[in-house]
Amino acid sequence: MNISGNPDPQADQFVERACGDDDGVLKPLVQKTGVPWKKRFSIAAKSLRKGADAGVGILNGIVGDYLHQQNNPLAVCMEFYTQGRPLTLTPEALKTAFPNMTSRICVLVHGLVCDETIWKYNESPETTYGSALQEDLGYTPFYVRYNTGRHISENGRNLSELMEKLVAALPVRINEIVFITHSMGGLVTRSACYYGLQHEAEWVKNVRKLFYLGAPHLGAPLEKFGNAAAFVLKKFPRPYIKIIGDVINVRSSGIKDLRYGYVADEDWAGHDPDVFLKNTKNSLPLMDGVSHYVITGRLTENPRHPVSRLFGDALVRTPSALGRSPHKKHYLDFPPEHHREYPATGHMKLTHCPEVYAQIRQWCE
Amino acid sequence: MRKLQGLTQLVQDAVDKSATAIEDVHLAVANEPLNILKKIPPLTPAVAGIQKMLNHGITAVYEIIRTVNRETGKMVSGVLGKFGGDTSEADDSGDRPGKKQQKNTKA
Repeated sequence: MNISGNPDPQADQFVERACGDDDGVLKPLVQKTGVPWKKRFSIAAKSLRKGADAGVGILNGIVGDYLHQQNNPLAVCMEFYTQGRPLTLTPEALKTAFPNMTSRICVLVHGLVCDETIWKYNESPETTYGSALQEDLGYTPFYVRYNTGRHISENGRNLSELMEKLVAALPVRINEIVFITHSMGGLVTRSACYYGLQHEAEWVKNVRKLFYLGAPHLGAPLEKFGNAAAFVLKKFPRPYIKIIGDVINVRSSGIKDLRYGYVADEDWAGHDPDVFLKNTKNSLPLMDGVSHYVITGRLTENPRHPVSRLFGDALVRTPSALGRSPHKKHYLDFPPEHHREYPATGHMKLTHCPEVYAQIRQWCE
Repeated sequence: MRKLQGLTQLVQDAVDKSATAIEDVHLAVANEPLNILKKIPPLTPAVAGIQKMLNHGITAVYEIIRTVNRETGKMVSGVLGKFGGDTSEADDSGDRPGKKQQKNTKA
């Protein structure tokens, strides 16, 4: 089952309306010029729709919390997506979508400003880690799409609820859930497990493995820089400089949560998010009884190169992805044998890299 | 079509908020020299009058921008609503089946 698919009924419907043989709005133009407008419009409409979806993902990452508060139709609701469409969580719909479903499922959770299409391989867009795991080891893949601009803990709670609905609707009994998460998705999944355990959700009992691909457990340096820059700019006594600080501070709650990797409501609730580099995070250890795996990238071949040490995979540094905090309460205890680092691999490449998949597969076997 | 409506709403909000933010900067910058001049006793009454007029003028210009923006937003929404017709229904069921869920979550 691919995640994007070629069919796009909405684009087709639009083209039919514009250039349809019977009552297309542009029928006279089509007849007069003899140009195959229908075909051209069809290609353009599909490209436009793909671009629009990507744009909505980016918009949600930047101001998704505002869109949600305003009830703006552009705000993405957390759902499982397949072939670019939301998946209906009923046994019948799931049976139709996944006729060969097994008792093992893998859930793929994307990161900030992305959607589920980030998992597609560049060279073969039909392939993702999910589809490859389905083919190789029989896992049924589910791709989450969510509003990355909302607080990580809000998305975590939503994911827990969504997983509960999914497990209740699955036509087969599940005995293994594997999460493959990228960047912010790793934090959202940790948060979902936290809330799932709190509410004694059924699905949590079936989680076996969690893969974190470049997840900033201790925060991301870019967000720390954004916070510091806005704080300094706002201290200037000139109003036209202050306004730049205000613009920087418009960024979403989801982005601000990435400063220190907040995963629970208590981490941010009641605190000013724009205070200068203040970590209000509480301790949240890794979930027990589950195997946790970390995959990181670095910009250079040499692991000791200053660029890699400073910037990691460009957005997340290795110590953050490994939870190696100097403070005991934030330290995450990942077993060293559950970590792989890929040289010359940037943050985004971690989501569609055959070498990374080979490692995931080996750990899943 | 709902997404276009959302985009219209977002652009309208952005223009409104940007106009207000720029207005604040404009007022602050425009008032800086006048605030200094106002400290010179013989000029105080005249400068106060000029400042009042200037501030009224600036506020009026930005109010016009906000009003035009609001009206344009309404107009575009109306056109989209008419143009969309029954497609909004189709879009609703396809693109935003979680709308209800979103409201529930918020509640």
